[in-house]
Amino acid sequence: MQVSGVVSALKAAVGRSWQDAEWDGLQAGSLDADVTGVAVAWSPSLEVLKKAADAGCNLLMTKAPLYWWESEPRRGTDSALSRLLEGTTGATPFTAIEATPVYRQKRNIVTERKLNVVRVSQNWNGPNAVPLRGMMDVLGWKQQEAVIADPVVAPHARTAIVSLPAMSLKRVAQQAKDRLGARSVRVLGDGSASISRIAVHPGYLTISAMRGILATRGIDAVLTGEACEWEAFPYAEDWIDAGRGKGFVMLGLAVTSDAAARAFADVVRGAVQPMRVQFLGVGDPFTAVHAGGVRA
Amino acid sequence: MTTVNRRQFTRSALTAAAAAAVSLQRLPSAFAQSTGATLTAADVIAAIKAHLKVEWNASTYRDTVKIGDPQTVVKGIASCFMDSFDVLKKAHAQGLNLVVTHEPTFWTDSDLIDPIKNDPLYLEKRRFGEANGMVVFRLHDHWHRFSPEPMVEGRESLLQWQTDPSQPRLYRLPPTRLGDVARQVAIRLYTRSVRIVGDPDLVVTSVAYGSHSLGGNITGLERADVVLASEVREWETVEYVRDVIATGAKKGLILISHEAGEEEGMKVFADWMRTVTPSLRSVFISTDDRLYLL
Repeated sequence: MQVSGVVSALKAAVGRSWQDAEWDGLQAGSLDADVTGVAVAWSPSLEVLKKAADAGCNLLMTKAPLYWWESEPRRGTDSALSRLLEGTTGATPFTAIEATPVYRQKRNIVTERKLNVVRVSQNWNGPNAVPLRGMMDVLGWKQQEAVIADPVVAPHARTAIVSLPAMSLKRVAQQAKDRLGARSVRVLGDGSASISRIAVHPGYLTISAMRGILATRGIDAVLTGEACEWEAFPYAEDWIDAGRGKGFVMLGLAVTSDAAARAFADVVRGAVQPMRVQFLGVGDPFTAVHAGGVRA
Repeated sequence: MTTVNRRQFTRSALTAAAAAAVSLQRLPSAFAQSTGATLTAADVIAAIKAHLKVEWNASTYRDTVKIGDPQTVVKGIASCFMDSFDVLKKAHAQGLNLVVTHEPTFWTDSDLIDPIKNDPLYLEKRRFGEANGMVVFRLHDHWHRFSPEPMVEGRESLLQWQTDPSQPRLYRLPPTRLGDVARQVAIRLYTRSVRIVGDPDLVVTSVAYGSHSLGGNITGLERADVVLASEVREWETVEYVRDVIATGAKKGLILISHEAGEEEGMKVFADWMRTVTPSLRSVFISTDDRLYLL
């Protein structure tokens, strides 16, 4: 099977929810290349590229861009309407990226190891909210319901509403940290607050998704990967300050996305069997610094 | 190469304040008269614009009134990094009814109201401000353009690192482990949510202050062993630094909260405002970096 055949098989598996996007598709290599094996990872990091090649997988399917650069704005969010892209941190000219030694090294590895890289960010949800399934599999919590938090931007994504035996916010966050293998988890809210109903949102949490989640009444805490500190995060602060909620936990984008990638690999595996499909985790890049304090 | 310490910073802030006080005398007579009596929020905002000495962008969507009636008489001014609900309550409790915030009030960069007009939290926050006669004014872009740049000045006054006037935002350190530099940052910037990418035992001698954008952090890593940055996207800068380190480069990233990186600049604002409108109380209220790490 060629790279194009794998993409077609995945498209068929995803079905009607498949969305083409200019920023997705082939990032490196050739659609005509014969595939020796497929690796699936959230981020095509340098280490992941090497591991894929070492494992004999010459096709890597990822959600994140190959060169850390979004070629196309995310459209349709509240922030886009407000003249800025959701969570944008400012445009970076690709010429600045191309000039770096790490870009050249990454590009050389792709070329020398004859790798093909296909980005599938727009279809990361697969046929049935794959990231959430992956995250819940790892967390081991049973979802009560799955809600569409952001019907405009991400109609195929889901957020889990979970009922737990009452426990402290700190214990909920610790449990998630341990099960996801995270090394640094950021928590907002009184760690001793009693939590029994949470929302779990994999990946990046937009302000519109945050508001969508909290349209479900009775949520004590929201757990997600990453949020913008002038959008969903301050909304969480105000939500807690207003006495409407108790906690907000950012587990890290990489670890929640690794869980998603593991489940996405299952979708690819089902689509291209009997071809070998391997999940590659990138792991938590952070080390927590347990120091400091607040102003007196 | 010079060292800018807290004392020198304070002197520079006071020099700017004195200059501002002098220029207050040159304000239009209508404003000058009002300084002796009551000042409305509109008067105070006009005074801020007059004293900033930067060309005001008339089409700014950031630096505008977010809550309240500009004709409200000001009892006192609160400045903050972000006017969280908690900050609004603290300002009200202290009788400060003009809140000058650096960051948005309603959770998007331009405080876009249409998508949230029926949001219960939006309605509650707005009602709190209005019911208590408060006015919220955002001062972001123009405060960043003030000279010397207050967010940089404020942060440097806390970090107390050796600066090089020829290389802005670059700091020289005695050989120090990356983990220890990060601990120093956590303590000096009043934050408990510092994370690093890289080997905590790596010995480093230079730190560049980066930016939210990948481009700014690429440049920072070219200039120094370590980039200190806030509010970067994890799929951009963090993955970039992960890859840089994977090439064998002896580099690191210290990530702090957005608030920790800029809040001190709004304390500078509170000090400055005492010279702009001396008849009004001007109080800095910390938004507090309430994030903590597990």
